[in-house]
Amino acid sequence: MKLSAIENSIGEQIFEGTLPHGLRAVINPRPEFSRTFAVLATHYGSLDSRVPEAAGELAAVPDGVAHFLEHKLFEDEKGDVSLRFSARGASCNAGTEFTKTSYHFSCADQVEQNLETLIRFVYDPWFTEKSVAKEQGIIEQEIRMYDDDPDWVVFFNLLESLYHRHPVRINIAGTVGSIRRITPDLLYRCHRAFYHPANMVLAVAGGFDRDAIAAMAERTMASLTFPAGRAWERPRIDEPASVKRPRVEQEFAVARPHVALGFKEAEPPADREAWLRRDLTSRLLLDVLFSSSSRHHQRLYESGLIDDSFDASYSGEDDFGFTVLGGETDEPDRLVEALLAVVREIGRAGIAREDFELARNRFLGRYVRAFNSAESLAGTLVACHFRRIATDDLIRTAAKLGAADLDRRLAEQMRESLCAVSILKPAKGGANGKAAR
Amino acid sequence: MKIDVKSDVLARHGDFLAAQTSSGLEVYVLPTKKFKTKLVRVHLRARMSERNAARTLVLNLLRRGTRRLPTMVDVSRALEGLYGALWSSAAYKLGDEQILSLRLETVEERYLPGHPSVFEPALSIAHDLLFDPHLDAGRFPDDAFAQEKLNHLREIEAQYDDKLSFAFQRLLDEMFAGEPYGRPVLGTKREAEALTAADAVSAWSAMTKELPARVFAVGDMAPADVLRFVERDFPLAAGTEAGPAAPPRLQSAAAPERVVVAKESISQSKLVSGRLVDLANLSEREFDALRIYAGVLGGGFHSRLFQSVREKHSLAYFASASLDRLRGVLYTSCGIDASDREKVSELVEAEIASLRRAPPREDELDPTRRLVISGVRSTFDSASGMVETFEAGLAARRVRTLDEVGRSVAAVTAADVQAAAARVGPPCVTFCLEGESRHGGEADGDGSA
Repeated sequence: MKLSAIENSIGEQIFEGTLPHGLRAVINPRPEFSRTFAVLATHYGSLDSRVPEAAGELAAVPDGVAHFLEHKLFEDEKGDVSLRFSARGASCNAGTEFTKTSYHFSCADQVEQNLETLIRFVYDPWFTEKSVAKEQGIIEQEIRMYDDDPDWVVFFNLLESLYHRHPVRINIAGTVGSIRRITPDLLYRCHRAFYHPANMVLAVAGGFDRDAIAAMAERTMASLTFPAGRAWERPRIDEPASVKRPRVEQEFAVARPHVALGFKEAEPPADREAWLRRDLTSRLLLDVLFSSSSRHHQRLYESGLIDDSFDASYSGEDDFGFTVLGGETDEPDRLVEALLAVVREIGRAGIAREDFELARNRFLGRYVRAFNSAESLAGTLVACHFRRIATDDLIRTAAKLGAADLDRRLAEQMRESLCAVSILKPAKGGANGKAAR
Repeated sequence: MKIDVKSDVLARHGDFLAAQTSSGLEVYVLPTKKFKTKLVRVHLRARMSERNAARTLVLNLLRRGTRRLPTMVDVSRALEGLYGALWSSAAYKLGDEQILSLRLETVEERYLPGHPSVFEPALSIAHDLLFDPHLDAGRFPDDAFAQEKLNHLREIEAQYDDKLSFAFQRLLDEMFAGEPYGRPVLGTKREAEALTAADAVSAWSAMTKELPARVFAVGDMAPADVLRFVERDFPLAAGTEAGPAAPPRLQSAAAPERVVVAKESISQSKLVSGRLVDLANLSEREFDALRIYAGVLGGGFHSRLFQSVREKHSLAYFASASLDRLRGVLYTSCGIDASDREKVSELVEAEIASLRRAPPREDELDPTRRLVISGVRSTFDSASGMVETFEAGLAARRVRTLDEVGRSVAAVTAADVQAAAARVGPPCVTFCLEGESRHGGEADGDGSA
């Protein structure tokens, strides 16, 4: 594998190259680190609710299949793969998100052997009726754990309200009912469709030997066979611009109400550059509006409407994007009204340049800080790869922005006509109520 | 103020350099260029008591402003102007001590455009936040006090929302009632409700003048410079004892196991249990054998509990064990279906009994040793991890370098682990936060909400 250096403002040694079968690799050797963190990720997640068939058309799959597949790859004919990592003192895990599934390990020694194990198990599916049935019991418990997590439930209730049919509204793990419809055949089909090396990236950061790791990755990938394949082009979903329903409430075992106010993007970004600007301006905007240095935050905090649980975040991909504001509060409706009033007020008055500069300063500090940990840097490298941007594009783009960009973003993203509210109210006893919609 | 720092006041202590200020305040420095940040942590130590609530309330009041930066927004803006210097505080439990941890982290100036000075100005803000808060006639302003008191109460109530932590606190309430160790670190609702403005001022005064403190610094800093700024910015109390010694061990230790079940409207039941562990006359090897024991029992995918309860019987999403080697308690926890409570309890007990009867197999012992060593080495890669691991060593009076810990762990044998298992007593309390059983019922068909 020929490695080329990726320039970056921090002066970190970051290299990239292409392994056999088109797997991209990004590596950051940090000789001063004791451990190595490696992640092999596919651009396939819970959003991919349809799988390509032989004839090319797309077939719907049960909710939660990407997550189920993530669990099941950890078992092969010889047993539990995680035990092979444990035997070397390595920890391994995996995670399924909207747009990607990542498998990772961290270890202090035998990095090359662990890397070989990682690559081999992710590309070696083995599913049987029995092993799938066993996993259904385990994932059922995981789903129930999420069912009890108020932050998770208020968030997915919100997404179900913002979106009519976009799969971002689907709970990542699926439901107890949907995972019972998953079969070995379906898992094989999804693995074939989405786990081609050309659709994946390997990122390694930490205290390893660069050449030894590159050689092991090369050797292991060369020993595997794949049919021809290419990166999965996620079809855009034809999602209506409107929100599905403006409000959802549910009774829940919580001490105080939890509320989430969401704003749906009206239009998808035109291209990569537009996506990056949108992502950065949204984050800076939320910092200006609702970080602890904002007078609006202070006012809401001092009025008792918000506390430390308050959070403001933005998520966006090729064909969806949303802002979520919320936390715990005694008066959900008053809080929602107060948040909308802030948006209106700033919409009228505009963003002060000084506020913008502070937010950008903080962003720069955070960017440097992300290089502190091998794990967080490897995560950034994977995200940048799938978004087809360079790490430093983040700060290069930030440098070009001004307060007026945030004004435009606010007008574009935080429209009252495209918002929805999700509320969890303390249950008055008895089991969790079903959502009252 | 110029302070002379003699290099001979520095002594190697584990991986840190230890020193004392002229007043005897303990300072621990780990000079390294590995991180892109400088970290300073000021830790105040108190014996857990009914004053936990007052002290944690003060941590929040200390964010509300200083004499020079009188509002929260002023403070946040000043820190943001320093490229997002982070100032945070947290209270946590270490044995039967409440640690009040105040943290300042700034980005290394050499990575910032124009290399601006950020560390020194941030230190000055940190000093003011702790020693020169915004006061009104010697008290925290009434509105700030009322607000933070309410938020503190809400934070205590919100512990209910995280069902596993909630189950653990209920277990502690049952198992260590009346002991400092069993107290909730944020205090109880009743204690928090009773707090007055005068209580807050007196707790703040005790924090800055009486509670023994330690300062930890990790980053590209010379020890002499650290001593200088600690003398200048953090003139806290010296001392080694956090308060009067803990009362004798609870009398109910020998009492029969209690099983407490609390019904809740939740989907997944949380089953937690606690057993006392005899810590008398532990050698270094025995101390580390306990850690390996907990790892073999419930520290990861390869562990007995995970393999038995989750993998073999599919009865839980998680099943794990942990050991508090300061107080001597073995905890187990599983996320289960309510109808499986007795079955899972039996499986947990069976694994604990089996480790008492026979030493672990080599294929359990070896990965556990490796995982523990790897975990120890991983703390090298995080500034806060280094501080917390080192602090735990101070608390256990076993300060060792991470390499020394690694060597000792590597030497633990199967027989050592079986001997450690013999120190684990029968279950004192098993607590189950129990939801409805869904086995055999209709599955949710459409969405988990």
